[in-house]
Amino acid sequence: MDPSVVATEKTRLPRRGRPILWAFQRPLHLERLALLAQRVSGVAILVYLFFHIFVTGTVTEGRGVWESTMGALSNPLMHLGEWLVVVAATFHAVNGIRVMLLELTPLVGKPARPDYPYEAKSLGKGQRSVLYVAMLMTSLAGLAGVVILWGL
Amino acid sequence: MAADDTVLPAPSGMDTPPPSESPKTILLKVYRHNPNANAGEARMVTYRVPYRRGLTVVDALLWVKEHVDPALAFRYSCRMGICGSCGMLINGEPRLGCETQIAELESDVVEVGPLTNYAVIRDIATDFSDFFSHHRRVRPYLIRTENGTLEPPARELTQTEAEKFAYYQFTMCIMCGLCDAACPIVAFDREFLGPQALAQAYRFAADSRDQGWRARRDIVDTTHGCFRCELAGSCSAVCPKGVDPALGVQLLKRAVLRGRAPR
Amino acid sequence: MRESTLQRINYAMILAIFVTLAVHLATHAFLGVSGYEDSLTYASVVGRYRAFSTVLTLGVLLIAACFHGLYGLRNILLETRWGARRHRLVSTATRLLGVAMVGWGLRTIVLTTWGV
Repeated sequence: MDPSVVATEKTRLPRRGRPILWAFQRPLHLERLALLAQRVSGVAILVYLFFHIFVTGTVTEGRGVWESTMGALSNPLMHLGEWLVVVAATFHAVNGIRVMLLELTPLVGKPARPDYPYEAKSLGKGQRSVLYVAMLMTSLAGLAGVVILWGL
Repeated sequence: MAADDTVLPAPSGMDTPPPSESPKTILLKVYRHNPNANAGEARMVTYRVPYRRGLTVVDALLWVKEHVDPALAFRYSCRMGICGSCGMLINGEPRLGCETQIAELESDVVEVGPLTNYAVIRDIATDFSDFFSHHRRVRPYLIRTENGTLEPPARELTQTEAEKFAYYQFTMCIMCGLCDAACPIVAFDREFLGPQALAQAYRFAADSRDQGWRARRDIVDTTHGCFRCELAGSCSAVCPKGVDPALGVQLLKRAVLRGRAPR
Repeated sequence: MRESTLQRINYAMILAIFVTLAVHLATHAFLGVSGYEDSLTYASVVGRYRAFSTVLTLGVLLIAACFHGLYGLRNILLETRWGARRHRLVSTATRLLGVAMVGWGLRTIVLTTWGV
């Protein structure tokens, strides 16, 4: 064997669309992670909404059924789930505002002559600051959720 | 003929390693896959490549091809970042091999693989058929009413400087495919037009000389068109020519929603 | 329907969700109630449904949230498999799910406001 060949090891064939690889593929920048969080939070909220509609529907069965449903759902695990939904909804909403602003307003930037080192306008400080606001508001919502749900 | 065999005297003031030091080497881990050999198995083969200042990833691959394994398959051409042939995954990130110096990677082990989101033909060479067909779909040429006629143009199509800069940055695209490789939507959706094609659709839509807005709008205003972009921004993060395809796609969305050409 | 039309509707639904969800969360946190637990008592819930503003808020929130959520789900599902058949399957399934969710939610609103 050629002395320049140091090692040979088997590897997997690359397959397009592997979910875990997709999520953490480089370049790993904040906007890409925001997309991942937006999708995860969106699906989580939709699943919650599905159950929420049917749980709240039990109010039509009368006081007894409603109170026993609320009793069954009034436990620390459910409260944690509700807190997670509030946090997810806050991030989803504020990051969604960021996406709408970038899609619909001049915040995304204007075309100009590209000069080295080619800094992308769509990934500029102005746009990223809205993402930081989203993260800050999510943290505040988390704190507010703790105060409201657990009365701390 | 190995270009790195020649040692030129350094200009005074530049630092060069003293001749008594043993030559430095780097480890180049290359993805190898030949569907017609080795039972189609994929391997990562590590080569020890002599290092010299200014060595790029393409240089290192060429050294392997010349001195170790002539069967190593990868695309390259201009070696100066203008042809777009040498797009590859370098330490997990889509980059141009000719513009990536080993020194800037700050690692003695460099991993090279085929671009993600493309089918692998062999080793680092990938299949760009989908990429080119998406590009063709957006009709990447000026659409004029006189297209298809044999009439010679009656006059020059003039444009102001401002009209030119409305789309100029998107003309810098070299079709290297790095943006489609980085895009998380392209990773799953084979029918998504992709950041390159959509940015080129905007390039022509924003060109004051173009008369094909309706035709282009009908192509991008579809289920797998511009509205599938969700602003991951990875395309612009990896673009080596400052095209900023993410900007182009958002401007295209705005134009489609407004219902008129972006001028 | 053009994708841009669906997107315009989606933007309208997003704006509706912002307003109505803020009101909905506020009514459970502090607006007219002495706390979260208090807002979930039977009397408190049924009492709120008597107000037209609650009915309007919840109705709009229900329709907007279901549209927005299922539009997003439809987009994610259409990424993974393609073709006209898959498109029809995903569109039909999300529409049916939307009708079921909105239908059940409206049933709750109507029965609680006028029936119970």
